[in-house]
Amino acid sequence: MKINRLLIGIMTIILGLVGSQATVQAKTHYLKVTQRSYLQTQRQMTIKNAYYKNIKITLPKGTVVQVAGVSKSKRTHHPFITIDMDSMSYHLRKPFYQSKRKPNMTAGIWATTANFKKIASPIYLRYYYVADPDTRSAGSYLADGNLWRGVRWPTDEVKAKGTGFKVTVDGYLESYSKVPVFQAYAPKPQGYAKIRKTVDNGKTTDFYVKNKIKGAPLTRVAKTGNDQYRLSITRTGEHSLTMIPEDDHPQYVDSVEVSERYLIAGKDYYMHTEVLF
Amino acid sequence: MSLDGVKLTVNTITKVGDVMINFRQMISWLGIAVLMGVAGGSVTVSAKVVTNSFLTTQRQLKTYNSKRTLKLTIPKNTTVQVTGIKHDHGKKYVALNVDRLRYGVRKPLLNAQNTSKVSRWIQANGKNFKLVKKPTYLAYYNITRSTAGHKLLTYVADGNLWQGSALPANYQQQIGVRFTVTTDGYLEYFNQSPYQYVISPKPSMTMKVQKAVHHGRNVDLYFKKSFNQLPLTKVAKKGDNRYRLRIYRTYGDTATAIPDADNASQVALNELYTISGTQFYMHIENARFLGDD
Repeated sequence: MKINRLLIGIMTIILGLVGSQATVQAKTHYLKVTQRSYLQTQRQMTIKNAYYKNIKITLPKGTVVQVAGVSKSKRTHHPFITIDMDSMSYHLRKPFYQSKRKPNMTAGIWATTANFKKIASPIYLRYYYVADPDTRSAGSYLADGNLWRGVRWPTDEVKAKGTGFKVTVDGYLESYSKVPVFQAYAPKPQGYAKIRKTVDNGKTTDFYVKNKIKGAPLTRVAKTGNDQYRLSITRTGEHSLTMIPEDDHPQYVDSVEVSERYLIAGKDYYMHTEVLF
Repeated sequence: MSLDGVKLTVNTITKVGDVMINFRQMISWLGIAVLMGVAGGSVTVSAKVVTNSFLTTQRQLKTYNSKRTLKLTIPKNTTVQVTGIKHDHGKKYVALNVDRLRYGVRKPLLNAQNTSKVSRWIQANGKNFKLVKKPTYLAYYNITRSTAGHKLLTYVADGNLWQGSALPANYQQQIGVRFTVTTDGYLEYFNQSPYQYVISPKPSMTMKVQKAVHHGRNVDLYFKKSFNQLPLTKVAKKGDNRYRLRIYRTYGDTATAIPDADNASQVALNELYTISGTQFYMHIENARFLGDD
């Protein structure tokens, strides 16, 4: 028995040594991510815009991001991701917005466990969740969370302006007034607030914020605390269509734009979700 | 090498034992390759025929509808389109789209209680069929189109050209003017056709296509006799190719929101054609939408 205990003791020491050596070497682990995966930052990160790499953006620890693109280094074959900052809240993407070129994509960021953790889709983004859009869509899926006032995407899409809301990937509720709906870059919101709580009631999702947001039909539900104001968004399940004519032959249809219809405070809103044909 | 010779080789190796699966497979592939090269027509039909292939009957085929409730006779030299493929005991069988054959052939289907428009399984061999290319008289539309990666998109082009510019949103209750060219080469014109039908009824006019020429966006169909339902051009005073019908494919599209653009459950895409200035369209695609389901 004694010999056995001794053996176990020695084994434990050896194992411990091996273990500690492993921690000393600190092997980098990479995440298996795909396009549209949700990740949470594990430390504060400073990232730059793609290509020119002349503008810095800081993502605090714990920020939720969505993978816009994923590829592998040609040399090391390690994966890196890019983020579309237009999907993020204004206060994070501000340096991009304020620059002359207004970039939206970040440069590549290593998909390491030190940088990110994989997470399920956040509850505050479920209001426009669809299953497997990239293999199922009859055309291309392009929903970006923007809910615009009205019934359908406008025919004069390039000129049209819209008023509405968006929930950003990092969990902010932003309101927009008279901004282009066809966006080369995300515009400046007229008001925004961090979402403190989300309640999913099936077709209706309730978002709670602490402060008033300019232009948003919020209901005051508490006088103190983080969940003082509520915005209810109802996904009707109905779709509206816009036929965009060909420039040279207006009798022919160039594309069919699909919108999903929503109700906010009894008013019609739509989200541009797909483009067909 | 004869067909029997190859069969013999395969059988002999089978007896050697199951361990030699790979070798056996290799030999049988080799056998198929040799057969395809040597025997030509007969085996080519079996090997290359796929769904939507065109086959020309090499003899009169007596068969049934898929439910085996009525008899069908497909004459010799009839070009048919394959709708299904089946393998059974190493043999390949095809089911044929009988509804796309001329009225005289598909007529029994119209008397059926059920709505089967497909033939029984017929062996895909050289005695029955010859594999042919898509006939030129069908060159006015695409038989198939890939919808890979787009599960909610369906390609539905069926060769019917309807008068007008778009499928009516309430097409299920509507009737329209249409014509089509059957896979065996007959123009069929319907002056009152329901938009939704299972088996094409008796046409109000039918004419055999004598010749077809495909050039650019046009498909010219030639007829021996004239008819007044569609605009024809007289091009010869005698012979088989006296009258010409020119089908012009514009490559322009229209779309129909079903039931309406404010609350649509699907959208139909129509491809536009003109015949001497008169507009026709073919309903080619249906798209449904992503949602919370």
